[in-house]
Amino acid sequence: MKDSCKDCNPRGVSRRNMLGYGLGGFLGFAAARQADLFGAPSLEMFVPQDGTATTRASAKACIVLWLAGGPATLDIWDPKEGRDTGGPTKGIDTNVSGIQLADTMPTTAKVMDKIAVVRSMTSREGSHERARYLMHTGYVPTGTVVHPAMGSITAMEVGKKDLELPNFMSVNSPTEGAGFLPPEFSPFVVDRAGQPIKNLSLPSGVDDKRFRDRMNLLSSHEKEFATNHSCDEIDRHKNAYEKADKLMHTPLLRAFDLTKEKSDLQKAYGDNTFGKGCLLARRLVQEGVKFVEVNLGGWDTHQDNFNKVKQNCQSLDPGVATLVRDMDSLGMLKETLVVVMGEFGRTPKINANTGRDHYPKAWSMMLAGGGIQGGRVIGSTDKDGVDVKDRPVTVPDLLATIYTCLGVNIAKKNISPLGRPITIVDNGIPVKELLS
Amino acid sequence: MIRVFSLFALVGAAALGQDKPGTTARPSLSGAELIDSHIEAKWKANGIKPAKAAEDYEFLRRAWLDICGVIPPADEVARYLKDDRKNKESMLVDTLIATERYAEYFAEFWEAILIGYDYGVKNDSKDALYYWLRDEAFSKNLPYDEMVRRLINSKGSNQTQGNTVFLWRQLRNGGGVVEITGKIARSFMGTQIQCAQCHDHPFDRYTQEDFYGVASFFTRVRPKKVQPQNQQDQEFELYEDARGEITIPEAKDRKPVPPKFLDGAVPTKDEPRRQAFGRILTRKENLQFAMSAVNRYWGHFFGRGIVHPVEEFNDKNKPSHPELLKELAQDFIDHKYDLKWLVRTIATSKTYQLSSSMSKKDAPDPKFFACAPVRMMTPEQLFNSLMEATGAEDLFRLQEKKTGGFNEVRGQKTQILRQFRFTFGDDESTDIADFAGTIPQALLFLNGELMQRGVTQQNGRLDLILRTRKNLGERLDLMFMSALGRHPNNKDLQRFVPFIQKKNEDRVAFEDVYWTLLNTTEFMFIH
Repeated sequence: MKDSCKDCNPRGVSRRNMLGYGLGGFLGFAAARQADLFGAPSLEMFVPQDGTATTRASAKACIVLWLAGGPATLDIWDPKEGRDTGGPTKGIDTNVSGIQLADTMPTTAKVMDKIAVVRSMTSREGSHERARYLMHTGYVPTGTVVHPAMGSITAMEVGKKDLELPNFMSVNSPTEGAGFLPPEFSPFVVDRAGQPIKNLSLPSGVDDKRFRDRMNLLSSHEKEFATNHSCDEIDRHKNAYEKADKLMHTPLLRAFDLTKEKSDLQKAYGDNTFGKGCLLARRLVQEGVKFVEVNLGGWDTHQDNFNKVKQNCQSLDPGVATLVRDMDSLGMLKETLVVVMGEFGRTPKINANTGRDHYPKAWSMMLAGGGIQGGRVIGSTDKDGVDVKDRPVTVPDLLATIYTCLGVNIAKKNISPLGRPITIVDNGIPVKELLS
Repeated sequence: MIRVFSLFALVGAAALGQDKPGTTARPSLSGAELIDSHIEAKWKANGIKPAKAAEDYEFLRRAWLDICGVIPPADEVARYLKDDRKNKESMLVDTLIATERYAEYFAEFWEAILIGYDYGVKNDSKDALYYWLRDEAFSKNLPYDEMVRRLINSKGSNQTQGNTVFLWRQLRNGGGVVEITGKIARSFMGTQIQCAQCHDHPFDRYTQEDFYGVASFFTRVRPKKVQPQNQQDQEFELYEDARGEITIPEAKDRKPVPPKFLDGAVPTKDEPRRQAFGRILTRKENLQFAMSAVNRYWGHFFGRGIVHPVEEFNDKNKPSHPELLKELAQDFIDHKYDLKWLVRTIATSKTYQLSSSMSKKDAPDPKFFACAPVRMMTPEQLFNSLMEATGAEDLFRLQEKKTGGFNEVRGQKTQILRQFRFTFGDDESTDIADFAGTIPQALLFLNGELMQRGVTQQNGRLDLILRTRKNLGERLDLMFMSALGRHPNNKDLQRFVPFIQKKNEDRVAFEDVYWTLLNTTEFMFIH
């Protein structure tokens, strides 16, 4: 109890009241939490405590396609054709009989057998900043402890220590960071896929010989200062410079050259920043990067929702489908987890501006590869998409699922700067139906 | 609910001195002497051997960075090193707190505390708060209690009344009253009461009732839209509604919780709630208010608070020097919450004027403050210092004179500063040192445009040095003075002179050396 104080509870209710909450309708997972109430450990029931989870990792890497702004998932993964709340969006058949996606996702519908859709996500955070934080860390923001993002945890727990590329990369936009973990686990931001990385090449007029001269002068000056002064940051500073130097010169930078791919494939991913980001993510994973997040914005559709969603899906649909297909043909999909999500869903009710507003209560997201059973839909919403009808999945549950695929022990506690142990996932249980 | 509130337990005798026989109501020492006597007593009691006093150049650089947020210009260094007056340290501090730089820097410092960093996606009148802090608070040396009251009880447009931005930002972030309550407790009390929102605090004695009692003061603050939402920089008007209540969500009776401060104080009849909160928070009896400010400033100057981290006052996190904290806070109140007095007091203490030079094995536990800490600069300090060392600051100020508008030039600088904050900062103003040491930071300095232009720019600092000084020794000396605020020592000369000579004293050799100096820990850290 004490160690989760800073984090409060992602559902915003006290654990003391969880019993009532559980009985209120979420009987399925209330049992585990009741165990917690009565003093028995809850997560331990699901995750081995001795680190054996690591050996069962089904995914070696994770690619998150982040739909910034809160996508109207009713118009993507959970169409309500024929209902007022469905708007003009239609359902289309997929290559799995009995499962439909929205007509905005025609290409992805053809790889339905390889992907799983969760239609029963539920959370309580309806502001962009707070929900983004929650989706990346599994915790609501509290003001003191800054929790580490999934990518940072993954980089620290299962990243390759000697990799010359950063283990956690964020493409097309910054994302949540390392929080209280050491800065080496921060995301390395690639501003725009397909374009040179900022400050990675030497400034004009400085060749490699000159760069070496500078670095040698620097290291001799640094040595002297370090012997006369005491501070961990000095070592960090040195460490960062060494890593930057390595990064500037590693052959692995070839991953950034997307023109190495066949032009047909490049085209299939999409000639846009998002498509290029998906392709770059695949290439980075091939070189050993553990966690790549690719950003696609424009989903905050308070106005003109349907046209905007359709337009965004012209990037999203080929990007997702080609990534899944391409990795499958390369044999990478089974060990690479793909996650497609945003902050929350959007209201079933269509507002006066033909828009949809923020709606964290019931929404959808998608997973594929890396130990996820394809061709499945988990949970459902009611006929208008207002409430979760069955199998609610919380954000901590989702993170627990992702970590489990990656072989990260979700019950592990990291120590915050105040010496408080903070569990990797608090109060979340892997969604077993997703795991193959 | 009858019980002792933890804050007041912490404050103990000093605050309630009059009521407790046998304790002195006022500390016998004041200011810097008070600091040194407490700190030295603790060294003695623990057998700590402190570092020697800082060299002139060490102290000068540190004081400039901590008070003005920038390294000293080379000519100031030269003047100070030659100055042989006995009290030159305190004269320097007096000079620094009278500069515009002081007001600019502490406005940035408080901006980061009050609303955090912004990556520049939206402008959201952040600048208005900065200008208010700079022009209304720090330039005029507004007493701290008055500054806080104006931040809490603010009304009007976020564009013209910069003090409204503080509360408005908390509202905009979506957490509403709950966010405001947590933020105010952290900012002005140094405490974390937001956890009590959902459950009674496990190691403070706050209850959910306490939390909602404080929250209740802020249930009537409302933003009114002045411009349509899709404008890039939204204009809102903050006002106080006549109605608005809060209930504890889990409470059965759903009765509104009346406004009540942590020590039980309530508004007087007809007193508007926010105004009441400002008054109650800043009462002299609420020593925690002053202690939180004193501790925050202490943390700024010493790299760690007496209570550390500075926003973590609670029963489990004991202060390293409890008596000092109480007495200094009382002294601060007696000096009418004068922030310049507080800065002068800390910076003229012997404790602050210790050297940072000590090997790892000799360095005592930092909580004894027996050796000046080595600290990573904040993004603002680093940015300002780089501007100064490369001469870009002079170029900017020149441009400012030409165009006549300081605020316009600040706009341009802000653009570059944003990249720094993004690369070096985190989005809240928590311990920045913990965020130092990422690859993008290193790359920005190794290959970034600002750095490269800094050493090649026409009329930049290095260019001017090379054009006005022909002798190698003189050039090197001025480069050291400009970047590191000191003369080169023998080891430096052995390292850099042969390098430059081997390259026939070519311009690129000087560029490489200057580049090196700007990339050193010695440049990027406060020590």
